[in-house]
Amino acid sequence: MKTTSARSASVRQYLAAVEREAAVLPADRRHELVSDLAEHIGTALAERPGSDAEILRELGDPRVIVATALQESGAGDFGGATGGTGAGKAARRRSPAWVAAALPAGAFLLGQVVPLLGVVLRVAGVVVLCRSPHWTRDRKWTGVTVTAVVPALLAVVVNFAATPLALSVGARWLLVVSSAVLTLGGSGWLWKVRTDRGPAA
Amino acid sequence: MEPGEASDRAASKAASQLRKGVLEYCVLALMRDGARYGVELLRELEETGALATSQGTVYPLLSRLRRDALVVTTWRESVSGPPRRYYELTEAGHAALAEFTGTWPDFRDTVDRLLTPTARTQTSGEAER
Repeated sequence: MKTTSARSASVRQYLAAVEREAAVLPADRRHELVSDLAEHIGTALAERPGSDAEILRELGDPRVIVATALQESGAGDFGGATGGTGAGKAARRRSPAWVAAALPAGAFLLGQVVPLLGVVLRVAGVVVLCRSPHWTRDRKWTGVTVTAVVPALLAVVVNFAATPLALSVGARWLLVVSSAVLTLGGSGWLWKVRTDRGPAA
Repeated sequence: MEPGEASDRAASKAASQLRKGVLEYCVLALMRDGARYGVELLRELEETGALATSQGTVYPLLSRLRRDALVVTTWRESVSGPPRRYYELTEAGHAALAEFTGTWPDFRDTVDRLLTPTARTQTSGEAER
């Protein structure tokens, strides 16, 4: 970005909103988008001084712009002559949203039968969720906390810390049930708040 | 829900999908005769009515065209403001535009024939030529 002349508060706020919404994009795409828009605003303001509000209104809602950028980076589905882009292929290598949402629930249920499998699936769930393009960084943190970190801590309490004397049967069940509610609820929540990557998703 | 309302919404959705589908080629076409800078490109798109959504949504498209090597960009100084990034067609960009320019009339005629029942009977002989 080559223009660093003093920006008005509204322009700064707008670019900050783009940056925030663009957290779902890979870092290089995010920087490129923000610098393209900043350059547009700088050039347009040089042509029409003082019309900040109008220029920002024409550019449009940061959410819509970022949604378009997400579609473009997963595109190829409706890109004509250009076919699949490198980014499109990279995006398709990522697991679909339902895998990340279903893994914690599967981990909990199978973990009741084969505890080791439960642990493996939980770790896989965290990895898939963190790499997935379907959630913002904040939602990933919430998802990991609710579906993996807290249930893991509860499991540690149930299996290791609790001697029969320290923990009654009722309390054990309460821990297992809350762990189930957290994991299954967390899975459902992840599925509900996922971001679709366009018509093909 | 009023039936008229629903069909209005369907029609405007169709129009917006159509614009989205051909936007890429409208953008390439605007660069056919030489390099353009972003603000200029978007202004012309807006004026021709080829834009379905806000101007900002074109930048992700331009970024993809650049990654796909259909356009290249160069910075140029401007007398009246900050340096501008100019977008220019590459060989591949010209080729993609030429290909689309070739297929579009056939596509448009096919859809026209399907959409207008009278024109369909009139032009069916012509189409067999």
